[in-house]
Amino acid sequence: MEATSQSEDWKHWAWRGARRGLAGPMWFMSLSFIGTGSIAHDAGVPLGATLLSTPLVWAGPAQVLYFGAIAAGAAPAAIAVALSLSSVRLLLLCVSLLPMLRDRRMSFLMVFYVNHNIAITSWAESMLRLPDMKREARIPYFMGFVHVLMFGSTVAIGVGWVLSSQVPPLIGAAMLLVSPLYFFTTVVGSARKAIDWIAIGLGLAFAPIARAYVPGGFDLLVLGLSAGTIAYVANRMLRARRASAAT
Amino acid sequence: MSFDILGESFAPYLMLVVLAFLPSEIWRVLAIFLSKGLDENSEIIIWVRAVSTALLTGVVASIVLAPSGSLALVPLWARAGSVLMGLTAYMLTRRSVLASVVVGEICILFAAWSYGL
Repeated sequence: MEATSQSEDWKHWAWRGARRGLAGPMWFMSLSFIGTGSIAHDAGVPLGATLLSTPLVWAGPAQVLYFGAIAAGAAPAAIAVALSLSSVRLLLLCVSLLPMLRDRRMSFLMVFYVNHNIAITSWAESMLRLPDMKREARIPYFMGFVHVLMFGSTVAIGVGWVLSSQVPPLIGAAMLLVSPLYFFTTVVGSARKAIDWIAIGLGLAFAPIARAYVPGGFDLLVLGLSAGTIAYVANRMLRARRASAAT
Repeated sequence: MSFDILGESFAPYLMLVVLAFLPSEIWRVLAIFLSKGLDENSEIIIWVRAVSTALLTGVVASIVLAPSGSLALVPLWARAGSVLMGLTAYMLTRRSVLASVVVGEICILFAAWSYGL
């Protein structure tokens, strides 16, 4: 009897998470994954690997970076390093969210799987909803939500790949801009402090310079390291000045 | 219509795992071990976050500066302008990413159409 009501409860919360995903986030993520699919097609990546990239990598920005770098003919080592650097934020997302989901009784494999599903959209949704939710409801809600997103995004990346070669140039051009639009809005939208704004501003300013002068597909990496380090140092100086002004 | 779903070789799948899955998943796995007791506001994390923010911005800039496919046929000012219009829509709609994408898409469609695409 107890077991039945427990599994009923699990279904209830998983369905609520799924409904929440269907109400918006799935569609909006899928829109950008159509664009990602068309980038993958242009990069010459086969459909199977394109589809697989969604559940395997499960980080839209990293997938855009990966297919974009392949299209640009970047060196394999540069792709791996740039991708890894851009995914450092996953460490932050996971570290801040995992304690909210984790349960001592969970096996390592289960923790690994739950953790693998953490990305920008699922993190934002979780931070909004999970704190007020009872502990037993969190995992089913999260799983329901994230699997709807994953299903939609996997279908969408395939649709984008397939359509890319068929659609008229007008629609093709528009589809290729979905990813940078979504991506830039998300990066700017997540900016909270001076250091974020400086990093974004310098990232934009350095992009043409890095493209022109840094060879071998390391341009994005050099851009990130230089603009990010300057933003970090400038932010420290700002903080020090504020601290000395306060005393 | 026929698609070569698996491609000609195993290479794209190996590349996906080695160059995309492992370099990103390593951070998630590390988080499993570090999720107890790491300070999110430590200096190294602040620096790494700034580097990745700049890098992600650079990715957007490079797609706008040197796009692939038919997007390259639309002039640079129209590509950059569409992204800026999308961003403006985002700000005006109290942070609706969907509004940003829709407005930016309308702009790029209009620009592409007026350039004869």
